[in-house]
Amino acid sequence: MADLAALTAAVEAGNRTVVAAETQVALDEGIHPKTILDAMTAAMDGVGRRFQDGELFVPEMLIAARAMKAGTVLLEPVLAAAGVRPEFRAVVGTVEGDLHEIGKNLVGMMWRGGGIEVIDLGVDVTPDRFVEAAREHDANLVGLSALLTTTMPNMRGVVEAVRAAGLSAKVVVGGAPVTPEFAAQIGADGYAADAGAAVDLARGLLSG
Amino acid sequence: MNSRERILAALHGRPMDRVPICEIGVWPETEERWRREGLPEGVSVEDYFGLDKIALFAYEPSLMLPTVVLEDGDDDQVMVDGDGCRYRKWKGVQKPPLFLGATVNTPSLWREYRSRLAPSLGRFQNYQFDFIFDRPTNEVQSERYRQARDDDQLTVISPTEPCWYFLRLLGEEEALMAMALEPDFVEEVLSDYTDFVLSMLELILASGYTFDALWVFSDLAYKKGMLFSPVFFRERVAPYQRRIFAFARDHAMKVIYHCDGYVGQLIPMLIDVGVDCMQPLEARAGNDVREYLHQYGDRLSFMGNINADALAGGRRSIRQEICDKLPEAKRSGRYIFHSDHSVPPTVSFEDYAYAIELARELGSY
Repeated sequence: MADLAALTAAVEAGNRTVVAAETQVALDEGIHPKTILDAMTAAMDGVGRRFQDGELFVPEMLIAARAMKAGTVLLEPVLAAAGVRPEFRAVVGTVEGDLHEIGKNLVGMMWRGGGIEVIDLGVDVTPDRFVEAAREHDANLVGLSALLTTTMPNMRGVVEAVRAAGLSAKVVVGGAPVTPEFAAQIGADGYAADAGAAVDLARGLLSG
Repeated sequence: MNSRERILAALHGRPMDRVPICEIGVWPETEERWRREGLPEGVSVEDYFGLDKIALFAYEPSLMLPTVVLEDGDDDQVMVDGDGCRYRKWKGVQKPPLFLGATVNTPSLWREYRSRLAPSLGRFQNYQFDFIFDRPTNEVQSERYRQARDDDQLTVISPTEPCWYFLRLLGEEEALMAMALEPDFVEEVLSDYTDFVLSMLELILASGYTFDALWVFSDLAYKKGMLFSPVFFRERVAPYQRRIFAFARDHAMKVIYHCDGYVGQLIPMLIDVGVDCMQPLEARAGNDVREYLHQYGDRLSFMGNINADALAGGRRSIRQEICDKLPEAKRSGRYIFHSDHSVPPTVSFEDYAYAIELARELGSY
């Protein structure tokens, strides 16, 4: 018997075995994949809130995101067959010259958890590559991460390239050296202090 | 008062002539810029600015698995290091290596390979690596030690902290997930690695080397705070740090702890395990040395918190940053002037000179 509450709890607890099992049971019982996905998204929303409140830390976020992936991997072909696609798409990457990943990965996981399709460009990504990917995927969001003082200025280049390309994607920035003031200076559309805040930021920008 | 006496005074909270001025983190690119801007060839940054020197020593911390080059291109190389970790390293540019994957990442594999953590003096004497900037050096450590002692420099031994070792061994993401899913595995590695660290320290000291301090570099925090929960730290990490820092105390070494990110939550726990000095206190992460000295200045010394953004921001911003922080920090008698992480190439030679001049002026007692 499908138990979506158990599915939500398993995502929150980071139990990917139970997530996969409960997802399969739900699919087998004919529950709409979007309904199943919503149960998992609700879990990640809860995880994000508790992370922002300081109750949960990076390990718990990572295992929850990984557990959700164990479910979405089963849902994706069903969703695709039903013509259900995430409403929004984001490209994320660490800017040129910078190789730090975990912040970018966490934001990507949380955005996926929030129902946004995420195309991860990796690290050391040039402005041209961001623009190319945003255009190719018709991205609504471009997420930039930097960990170094010396690579942070490269975010400005991406913002300028996105604007020059005439793309409507919102550019959001984050990372250890990044501040809201810097984000405003370079003309970014938003700044997120952490992966949890990045979900709220994305939702706010996408609904606007 | 010489540099060593001055730094020790700050670490012990004893009277000193002026606040020590140290910097261990001038980027190679920064030094290149400064050479173009007037730093004479053949003169080190420390000597030119009259900085209070810290001679850091370390030893080979890995399992000493064979290092293998998997791919060798014009611009980069993919290799496997002594802990079985795959990295992409760049040629001709100063970029940190990109972690690609781990090998020794399960309890059974750890048990299979952990006997390779065999303590030996060779790990110390043959160590030729700048772990601050992740690059090989040509210096022979034993000779550098002898020179440092002859010059009466502060000598510091820097073992790899066990939790930091675990984060490197598995890669950050897998290691953090292991903290949630396999805490016993994490603790097993921490325990084994602590035994190795203590054996290495005993061996090195028994061979006649002495150090003024023990300094660990362990980034367990980031901008928002701790990477993992304080409960996990207290229950699974602290016992092992406590053992290492107790060894340091028993051998008259002060303990310096480097941790990036916001360390406000971590500080009380680190005091509890025996840390004597916190460094570098990243300003952008919300650390404020004045606040910390007010709260903990009776128990803890501090090194850092001079915002690198301010150093790169011109004279007015440098003056404001140093005038805001140094006079108040100086009153504690437990402060060491240092950037809040490292000095990037956005800082000009002239501006750094100005900062040091100001630090000397305002830091005198």
